[in-house]
Amino acid sequence: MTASLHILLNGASAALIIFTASAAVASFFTQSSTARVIASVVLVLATLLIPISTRSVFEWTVSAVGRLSLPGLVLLLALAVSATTGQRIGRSAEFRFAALMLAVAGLVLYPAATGFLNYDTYMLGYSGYLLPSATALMMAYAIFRGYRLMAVVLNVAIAAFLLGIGESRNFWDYVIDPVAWIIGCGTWVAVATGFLLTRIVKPANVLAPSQPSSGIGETPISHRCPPKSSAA
Amino acid sequence: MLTNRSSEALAGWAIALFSAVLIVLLFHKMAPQNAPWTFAINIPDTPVRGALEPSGEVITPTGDHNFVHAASAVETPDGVLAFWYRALYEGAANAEIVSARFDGARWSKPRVVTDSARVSGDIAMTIKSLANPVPFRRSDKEIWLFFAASRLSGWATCEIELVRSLDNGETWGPAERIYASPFLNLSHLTKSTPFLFTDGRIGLPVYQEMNRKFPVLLVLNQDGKVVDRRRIGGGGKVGYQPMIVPTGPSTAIVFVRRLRHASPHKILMSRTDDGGKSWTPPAPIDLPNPSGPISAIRYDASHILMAFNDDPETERNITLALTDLEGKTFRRVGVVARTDNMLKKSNVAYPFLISSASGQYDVVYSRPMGTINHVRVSSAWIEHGAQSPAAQQ
Repeated sequence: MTASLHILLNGASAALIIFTASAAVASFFTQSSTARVIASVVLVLATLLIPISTRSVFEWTVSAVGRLSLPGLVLLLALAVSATTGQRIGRSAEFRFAALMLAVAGLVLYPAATGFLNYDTYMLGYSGYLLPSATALMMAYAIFRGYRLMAVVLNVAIAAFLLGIGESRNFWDYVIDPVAWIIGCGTWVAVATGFLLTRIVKPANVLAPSQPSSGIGETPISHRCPPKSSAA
Repeated sequence: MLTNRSSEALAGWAIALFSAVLIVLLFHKMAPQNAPWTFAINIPDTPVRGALEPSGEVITPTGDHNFVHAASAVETPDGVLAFWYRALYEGAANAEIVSARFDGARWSKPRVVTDSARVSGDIAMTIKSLANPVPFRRSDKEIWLFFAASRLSGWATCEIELVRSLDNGETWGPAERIYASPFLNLSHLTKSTPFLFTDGRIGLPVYQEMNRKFPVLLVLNQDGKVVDRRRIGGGGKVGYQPMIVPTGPSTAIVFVRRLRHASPHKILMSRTDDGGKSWTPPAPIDLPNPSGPISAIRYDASHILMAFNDDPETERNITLALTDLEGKTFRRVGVVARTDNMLKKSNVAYPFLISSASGQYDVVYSRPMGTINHVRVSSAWIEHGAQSPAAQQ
């Protein structure tokens, strides 16, 4: 029973990663959601059969990734839905906020915990008030803004930590994982790039043609005096 | 009947209330523990007795052409139980953790404790290789065995596993993952002896391998789950394979293997005076180190006995030395293993030292990497060597 649960949980993370990546690639070739889903499922199954060295691509992915955190799984699921249906998930303020929180949390956790800094921020997940305080603030903001999915996911993660359901006894491992961090950072790189393109690059290119002109050296149409109203 | 708007509001309030309760419980669970950390100190009785000559054997059977390395040992009611790992070559797939028993006269044939396939099944994740088994006596009959398991390829992709035996190493339970790192639980390895805190928690010295290399103390609860960890010194490229020896209720010293390309070629040492919560940055001491691990145990009320490679460049010998509890003065006792000058690659590596009985000490080590070897020395030999000027040269 426990072994089956381990296989299911470890496999789910790897399957979702492969499925999402496949759907994203498929979206370049087809607009059909059904076709994208079929292609992604086929690719997931194919990774079970394609061997590299002594194990399948799927097994390599499981060994590399292990088990993702709940927020990471939900974020990945949202990306999978987006990649198959073509919905632009980046337009969701809740998704952007969740991605921002994961990007910031990962920036606090990973460089320090892996030895690039002298202070080990991973310790904060065992005891102390700093991480619960940050979580409480994030939760309050999510509830205030009506980000219910995020609040529910955080609650489930906290409950899992309190009950000691996962393999780790460190709170960090229940709210973030490196895959979620990469998705969070990637989302905000995309958001920032989109912002730069629409607010800075596009207006500069678009200004002149947007003014209808009657010819070179002539006053643009929009700058001509409106005809005098007979009522005035 | 509730309208849509009022049921929405009700759901919102329910989530807020539930969240508030969970946050309060989270604060309660994560409340800082202000109790001091204290080591369980066991000062051994060390009568001067035993043979004045070391005795030794090759543990691994002749004709075994596997790569064997990283031996360790634990005392049992009827002798010594040694562990090591074997594979086709270092880091090869399908590795095995094996054990053999010593009854005082001869070593038994090796028996497989676990292997890559079994560990893969236990943790539902394919494992490539296994290494560095480290035993810990949990009770009179219970032994825990920690070891490193490489998930992808290379030691940097290791995580730590634990198997338990309730019958002094006759049979072993399934492997359990030791969750030690936020980065996909990658890149922590074992090498040195665990120890006890007075509250029953277990200190497991480990090290981070990927990119940065630094020693870490993992604190495990009585179920074997990591409940805290402390870096020994800062981050960065420091050293690895820490060997911690508690010297008082709140004091301990740790010997750290230097990095291969680091200078000077000396053993590094760090100290704690708050039960392991904080450690000084590892600094070189006046003993050479060819980048080999150090093994050490408490010898008596005022000394630590250590086994190390007494050479700055190569693992040409394994020497025993006594040091004071501060780790400031060292007195060499004698050499228990040497390179065979007639053979190529006959270095003597990875010493692991235990006290298997009062006044009796066992060192297991590997010769690259064809055999696992054992040497037994007595407190009489140690005391004699400590008095001998020849041993200091």
